[in-house]
Amino acid sequence: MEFTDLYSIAESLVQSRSAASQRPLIMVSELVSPIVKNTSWLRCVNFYPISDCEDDGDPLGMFKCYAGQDAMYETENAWMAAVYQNSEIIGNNLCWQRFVRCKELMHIFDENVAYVDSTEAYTDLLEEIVTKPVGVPTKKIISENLAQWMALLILCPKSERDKTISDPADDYGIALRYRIPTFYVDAIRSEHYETAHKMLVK
Amino acid sequence: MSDTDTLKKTESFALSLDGEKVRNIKFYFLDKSTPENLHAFHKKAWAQVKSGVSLPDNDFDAHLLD
Repeated sequence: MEFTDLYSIAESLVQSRSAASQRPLIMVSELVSPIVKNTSWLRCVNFYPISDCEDDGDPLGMFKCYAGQDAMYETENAWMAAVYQNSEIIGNNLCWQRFVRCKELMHIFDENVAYVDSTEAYTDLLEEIVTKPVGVPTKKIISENLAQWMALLILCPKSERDKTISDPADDYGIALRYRIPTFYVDAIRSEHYETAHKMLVK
Repeated sequence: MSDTDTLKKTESFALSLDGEKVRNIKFYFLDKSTPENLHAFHKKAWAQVKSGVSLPDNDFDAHLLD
């Protein structure tokens, strides 16, 4: 499965929900089934809240795949993807839980090296929008930042994002509608959303 | 963490469209975490999973459409 396939599912879901007068929400938990079904090497995805984290230095989330490290997942070509969430920092905030878990889940698509390779277009996006890299961005930095954009595209697909441009609602209102952190509403409303959409959705 | 938290800031700069400053957007996932931090977090996470301290929480937002 490629990211663009998952994006199409998300876009269809919000459009059908919107047409049915439901909230235009994408549940992160509902993304797992199509990903597992359409990814041949993947057997399951589990989300794990992690406690006893350090205040300084521990990441908000992490994505890891396991096979052969534990008897449960020793079958060849049957990997478990674990999405860890730093529950010490995030606590019970559902918007942050959703964003961090969705962002980590997007690392599933790191397998597609086309997204991870540094292209001129991507470097422009990185330098325009994201934490300024020191020197040439590494594959890890590219992967991390693309995963954030993928999460934004999934949680607020373009048909919904376009509505936010002329929407008089404040950032908090937009964040509440899509259950995302307010912190990311600026990015959704920015022109760079369009750049990310063009780059990641085929 | 609250909805309006902006977390720890790291090196960042204003977006620029045709030379005009628009707004600051800061991402933060990599700012504080060293490879040692990441390794330690991974070790801790896997230990919690294997010991059963952390259980799968796979339907955490499924109630939102109810």
